[in-house]
Amino acid sequence: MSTTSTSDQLVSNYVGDLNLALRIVGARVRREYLNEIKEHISESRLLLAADDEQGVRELLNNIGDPDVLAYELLATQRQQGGNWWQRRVAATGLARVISLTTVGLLAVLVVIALIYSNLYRPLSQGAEGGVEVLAPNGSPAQTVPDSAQLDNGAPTVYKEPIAKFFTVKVIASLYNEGPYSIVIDSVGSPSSFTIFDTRVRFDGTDRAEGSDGWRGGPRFHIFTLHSHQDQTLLITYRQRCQLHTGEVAGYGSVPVTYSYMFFHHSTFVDIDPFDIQMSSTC
Amino acid sequence: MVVNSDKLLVQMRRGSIEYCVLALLETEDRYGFDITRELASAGGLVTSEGTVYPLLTRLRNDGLVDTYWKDSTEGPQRRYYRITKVGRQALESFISQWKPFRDAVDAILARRG
Repeated sequence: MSTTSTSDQLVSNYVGDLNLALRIVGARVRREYLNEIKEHISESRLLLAADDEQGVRELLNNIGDPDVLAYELLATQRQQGGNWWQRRVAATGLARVISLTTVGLLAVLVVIALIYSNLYRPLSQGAEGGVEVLAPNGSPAQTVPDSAQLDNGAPTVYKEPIAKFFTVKVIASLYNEGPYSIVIDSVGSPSSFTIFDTRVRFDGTDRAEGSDGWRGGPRFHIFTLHSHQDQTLLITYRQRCQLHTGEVAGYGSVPVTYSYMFFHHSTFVDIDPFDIQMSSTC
Repeated sequence: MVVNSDKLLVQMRRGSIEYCVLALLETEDRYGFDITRELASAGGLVTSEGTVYPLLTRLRNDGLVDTYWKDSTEGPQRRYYRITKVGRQALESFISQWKPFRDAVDAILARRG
């Protein structure tokens, strides 16, 4: 069974205190300095009697207060010539500096990428467009005389069909004008009124106008819209009749949510605008 | 102004102690403990022996000394410090400045009678 002498305990406590105080300097410098001090203690003890407790106390006292030594070492490091890079290398070792710098650069790149992706808003209206407003029996709603034929850029004004609900079909065309692909998560209707049965389909081959209406193709699902591509969608919904004689509600965009990298964005994409004139009877 | 004598000593020591180390190494290579004890025995040059090691590191980083390991009969290998050519030049330069500086200070102080 071994026993630890008081002198050994004094030395052990001192080295422990010094190690603690040296936290303010780099790991490599701390390790090197601790070794030097330990060697210094060992050399000094060779000159002392085996268990000269008082001698060991004096020896440790001569080496100096751990906190003072730590600050002295730190000050020496700071006084040392050379640039920041050299000091860091001296303090922490080349491998550690390289890894820390690499991690730092990667973090900066990630932050830049996140900021870019957050600002990436490439959606706009594509080439296609159109709208159908249908009565419950499938017949097209009347338009305000001449509004459909006017070629002045003004939207067509549809008269609200006389029914509790009527159907609206809107062609929305999404165009990705940015250099990177995005994922389209959802597309909504342009109406802010009470609506039901909103259905979104990919564009169908059969889009003949008339009472048959537009059927559209496959049901909407999340899809990738590549750079400089557009995708036409058919949005169908039923809208409740509004009782406001003569007032006109305008529709000009659809809500779209999309993802790019880690960000989800909500935006509105323009559609061919149309108006619905509200009726006095439903 | 009241001058703290400890601070004064620290300031005076700061500018000269590294040249004292170089002077010790001019005649023979020494290891850390040996250098520390020599400085401590000179009186007033070192208050904390532990502060000598950062100084030796600085001298080494500045290229004024270099080191090598040597076996010891009394224990593990010792790191020996050896003055370099640059270190000798620095020491010569210090000595050439130090002597007239010391004489000038002494001359002024001697006027106090």
